[in-house]
Amino acid sequence: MKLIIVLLLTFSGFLSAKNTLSLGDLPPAPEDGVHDPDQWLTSDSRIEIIRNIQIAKSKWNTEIYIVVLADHPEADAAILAKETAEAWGKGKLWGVVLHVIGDPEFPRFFAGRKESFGWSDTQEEDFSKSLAKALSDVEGRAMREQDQRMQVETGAREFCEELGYLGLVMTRIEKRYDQARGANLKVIQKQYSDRNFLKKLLMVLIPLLLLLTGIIIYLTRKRRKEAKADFFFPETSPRKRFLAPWSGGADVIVDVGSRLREDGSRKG
Amino acid sequence: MSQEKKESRGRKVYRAKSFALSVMSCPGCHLTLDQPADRCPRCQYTREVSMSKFAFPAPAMSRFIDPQNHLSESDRERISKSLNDLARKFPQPRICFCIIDLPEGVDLREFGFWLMNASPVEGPEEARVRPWTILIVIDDINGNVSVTPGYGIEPFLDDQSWVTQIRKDRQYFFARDYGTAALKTIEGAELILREGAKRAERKMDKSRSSKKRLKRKVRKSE
Repeated sequence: MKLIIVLLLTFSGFLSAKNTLSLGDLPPAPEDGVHDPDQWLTSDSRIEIIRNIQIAKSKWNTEIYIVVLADHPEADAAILAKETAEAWGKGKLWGVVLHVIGDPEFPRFFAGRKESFGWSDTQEEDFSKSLAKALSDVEGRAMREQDQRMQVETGAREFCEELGYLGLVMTRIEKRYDQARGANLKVIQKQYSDRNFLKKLLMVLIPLLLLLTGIIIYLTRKRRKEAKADFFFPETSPRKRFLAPWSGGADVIVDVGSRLREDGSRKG
Repeated sequence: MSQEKKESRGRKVYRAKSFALSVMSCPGCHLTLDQPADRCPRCQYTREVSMSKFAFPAPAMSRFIDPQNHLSESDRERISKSLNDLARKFPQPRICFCIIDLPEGVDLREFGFWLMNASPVEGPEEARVRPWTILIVIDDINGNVSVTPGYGIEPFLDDQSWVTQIRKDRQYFFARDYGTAALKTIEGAELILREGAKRAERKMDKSRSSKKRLKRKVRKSE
């Protein structure tokens, strides 16, 4: 009899040692998001929970885990939930329903998100408040159930809805940030390519300007030289006419305005 | 232009016809002549006719022929300076200004013809420069301006260019600001002379290259 009790305690101790989570010694992530080695949840509940978990994951990239333990964890429940969610999942938003079988203080509900970059302080603050409210709502609705299994099931469903919505909000914020960053990147790229273009343009323009300057200087000097240079007309055999020795006259006459008035008197 | 070129050009005598732009016309009846003639084929005009028309001694040719002193001393100084500058660029031509009051009806072209040929040529220097003289006559009373070139410079001048230049500065002549008018005329003269010189250069280069080609041809045939 004593032997049986010892064996039972040993076995239960072994079991409890197996069915608890400790930091640094987490089991691999359950595929369906439910860690319930003792199969405390009913199969119908499990099916329903898994369906909600999958919806949350596929639609809103929100990871929800149900952890059912036979014994209290060694670490603080909140820390454990966070570590578990971050170890098991890659999602930015997570929710964990942690239950210790037989403990009326449970199930407990935890939610969190991985740090995002580029959020403003206001966005961080607002989202944290929303997350806290969502968590509170989940807990409130779940704890209305009398049965702990229903509490876990309800909690999972409510997590799915609440965190699903917040997941959408996160996605939108991050999308806008990416767009802004992308636009900024484009601006930076454009500036870079503009600078590049400017460099190339200068590489072409500067030699061209130098060439042009050289040409202008050359032409200016040539003109100055021509202006200074004396011209010598060739000797020609004169077109002598009218028996005039020095000039045959020309047909150049311009009227610049007579000084004579009509009466023949002089103006001015 | 190099000194050598100048000298070689000085020795060779070209036909005036090959350079001349302006037509020859009779100072009496203004008939256009195709060929030089001793007498006008229409009115039989000769220098003698002009001598009988202007039967008084012609003044000596000088930079300023201005018996009524239309030009002040400062005008003459300014004009002289401008003419000296021009002479540095064009050593051969000489520009002379004659400002005179003529009776109504006197043709300034004929007067210019007469003055160029009647003005005494005293000494070899004047004989050298007279053919290169450009005489600008201004009739103060009747408000006319004429240009009469000597035989030497005549082939290189374009009559129409003179008309254009003087018309452009008509306002100064009309205002009887002869100092400024003369300066403007000198500016215009420089342009006309420069153009004439360039044309002459082109023609001479063309003539030289065609002669070279001819020589080569002759050598080949030999």
